[in-house]
Amino acid sequence: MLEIRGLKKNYGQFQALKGIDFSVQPGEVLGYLGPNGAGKSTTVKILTGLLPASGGEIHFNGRNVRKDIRPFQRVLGYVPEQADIYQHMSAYEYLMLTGRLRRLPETTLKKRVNRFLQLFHLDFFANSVLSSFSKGMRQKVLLIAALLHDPDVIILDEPLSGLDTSMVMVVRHLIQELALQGKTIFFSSHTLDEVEKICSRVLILFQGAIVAHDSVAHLRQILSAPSLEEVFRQLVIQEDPRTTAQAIASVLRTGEC
Amino acid sequence: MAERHSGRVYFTLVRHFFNQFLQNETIAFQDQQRDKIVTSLILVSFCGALIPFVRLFPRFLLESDSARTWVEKCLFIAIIMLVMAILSVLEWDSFFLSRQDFLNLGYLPVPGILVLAAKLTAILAFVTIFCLGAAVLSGFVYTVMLTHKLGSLLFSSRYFLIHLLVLFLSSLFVFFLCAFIQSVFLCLLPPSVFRRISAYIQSGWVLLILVLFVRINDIFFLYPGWLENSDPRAVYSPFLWFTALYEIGIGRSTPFYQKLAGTGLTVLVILMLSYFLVAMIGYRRHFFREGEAGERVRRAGVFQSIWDSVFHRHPHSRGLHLFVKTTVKRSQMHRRQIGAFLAVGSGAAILIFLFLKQAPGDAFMSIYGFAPLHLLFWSALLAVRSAVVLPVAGEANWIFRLMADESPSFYRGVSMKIVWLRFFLPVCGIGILCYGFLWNWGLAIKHTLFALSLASLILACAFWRFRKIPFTCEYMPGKANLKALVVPYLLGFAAVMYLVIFFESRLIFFAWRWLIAVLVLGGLAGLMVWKSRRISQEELKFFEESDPAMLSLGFDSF
Repeated sequence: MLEIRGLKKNYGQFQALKGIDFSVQPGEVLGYLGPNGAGKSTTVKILTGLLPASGGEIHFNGRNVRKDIRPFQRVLGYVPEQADIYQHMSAYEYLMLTGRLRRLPETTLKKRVNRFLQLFHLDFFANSVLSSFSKGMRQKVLLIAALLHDPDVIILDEPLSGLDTSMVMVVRHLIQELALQGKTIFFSSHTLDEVEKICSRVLILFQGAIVAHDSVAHLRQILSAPSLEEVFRQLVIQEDPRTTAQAIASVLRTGEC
Repeated sequence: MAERHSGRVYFTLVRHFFNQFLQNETIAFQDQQRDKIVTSLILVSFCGALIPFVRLFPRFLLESDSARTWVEKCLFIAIIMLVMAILSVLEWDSFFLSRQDFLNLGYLPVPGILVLAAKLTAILAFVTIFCLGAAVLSGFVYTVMLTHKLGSLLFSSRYFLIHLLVLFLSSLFVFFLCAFIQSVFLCLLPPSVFRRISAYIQSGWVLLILVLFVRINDIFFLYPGWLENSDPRAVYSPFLWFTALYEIGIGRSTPFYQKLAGTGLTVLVILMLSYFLVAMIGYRRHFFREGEAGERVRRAGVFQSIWDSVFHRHPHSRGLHLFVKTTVKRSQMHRRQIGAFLAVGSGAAILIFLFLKQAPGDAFMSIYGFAPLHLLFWSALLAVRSAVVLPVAGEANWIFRLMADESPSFYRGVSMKIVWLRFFLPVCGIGILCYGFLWNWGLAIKHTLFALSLASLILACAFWRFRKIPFTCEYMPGKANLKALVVPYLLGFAAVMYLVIFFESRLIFFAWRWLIAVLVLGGLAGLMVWKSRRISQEELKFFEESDPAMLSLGFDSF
């Protein structure tokens, strides 16, 4: 089980995370939602070890991750939001590098990389450099890299961005399948429809604090909302989207600045 | 078991970082890269062996090695150090662990210290390979030529090993010196400022090394006196540090040599330690900076707004200008390409200037005095022309989506305008200032205008029927493999340059002749631009065409 207790992050005077608590059980997919700047990416980066926390605790299966993050990183699969991958490498080289650094046996790694490339329809482009890949293709490479070592915890930060519709459906089913296998999945996204379809529970973050943490059905029931989007609108969105849209359109129409 | 795995991780990282030295963001045909390495090593080996052979043969067939041969060794060490310096400057962007390294390796179960150690090992491997290329054959020549009369195989082996060791240490010194200089800039400047001026620092370095190469004889003129009198100034000469180490290694130790060698080794250790420290702090800094807001988008300043409203009134023109600007700023490959041409052009211009300044009489007023400015203009033009055909990363091709419906003449026009404004205008400023001080202001302006009008004509020719969006076309292998043409190109270039300066010297002192020449050149350039705008049924080119040889081999289809 992944447990976060009183997690804080400060940037100077600014509090990006104000002591959040939550836990994710094995076999569960937790949807992590929030508007831009709410602290989602900060949480993800702290969990993956890319950013130090200012306070709080992270425990995985009872062990303090902040004290020694390496064992946790060994069982962690991570798909970052913005892929700053090595442009000069081919997809195959990149995956082999990741697999080797994750200490996978060479034969298993080769077989797994080839099979995954085939399943993600990248086998034809396996030896093309990543600089020539579209965003969606890169996203597939990152997904493969996150799954190569059969991780226990999977952190997905906008994993569906750039993917075509059929691949979105594949990934959606894949996440559910992985949850059934007992993986702990942390799914951070802006796509509310997908979160509603995939996640068993959602956590909504606003200005560094948790404003909701429950199952989608229960949240909808409490707030009498027909969809997760409406729940999100009631909890987080402070201005009427229709009014903002009309204001933008009127700028274009009238040419006012 | 865990240790064995750590070893595998370590070697994977070493190989990864080593490959970074050989590859670039744009083109990564591994076979081509390996071929390039092997070719370079053969070239370095051959040249490395040729220098001692020319210096030592046939004199040392008859006489044996003596204390006087330090000059031969010192010269060779100096040349290898300067070559290594150029190589190091070209690898400028791979010295330290980058933010990209951090983002790709930071969440993997790999300790930071292992990453750092692997980077250091990759550097050592890179320097070792260069050294082996440069030292093995040359070491053999030195050993055979200088020790054959002694008839001792043991001493010859020692000589050979010392040769390898000294060249390795001196190359290592140069590499870490370059890294140290970069780290000083990194400490002093904010990262965004450093990124912006990094290419200029690189060009400055290459320029300095080229000047050192040419003036090496002047430096060597001073050395015998310094060594004879144990002059303290010798302690500041890295070439002498490693020569002294060489001499000590082969058993010619003197207190002064010991002092020089000791200084060299101490400086090397300090440089290595400082590299390790800076690399460690730099990697940790990525860790602490990661969550902060990314690069701030700077608002266009007043100057930029005026510039855009005057020169880039069309929004697509502004878009293309931004694309060119950001490409040059962010792409290591493009910066390197442009920087190399500019450095060679500026280096050649400065060398001509220095030679003319030392020549007897008023040589600078001779026809050769006209050459430096033309060289600057042409190197700028060659730099841009060679860089715009290299594609940038796929995701940067937003420019296609933005304006792929424009006609090729639009891109041609904007590209030429960018070259004119960003390259030609600064060169004009340099030309007027330098020649104004050396000659007189009137002549300086006339010379600059003549060179500018000629460069504009060449610019119009270079972009004639250019149908690509700069930096976007797909690259085809085999396109840049026309190395056989380098010699005729260079000879042709020298001939054309001579003709240009010859004619200019006949025109510039007569106002009417000069005016007509400038008007004709400028007019022709304008006519070509006007004509190229009227080419009908032209289509934008999205794919590079293969060479005929590639087509005949059937390699054009991938």
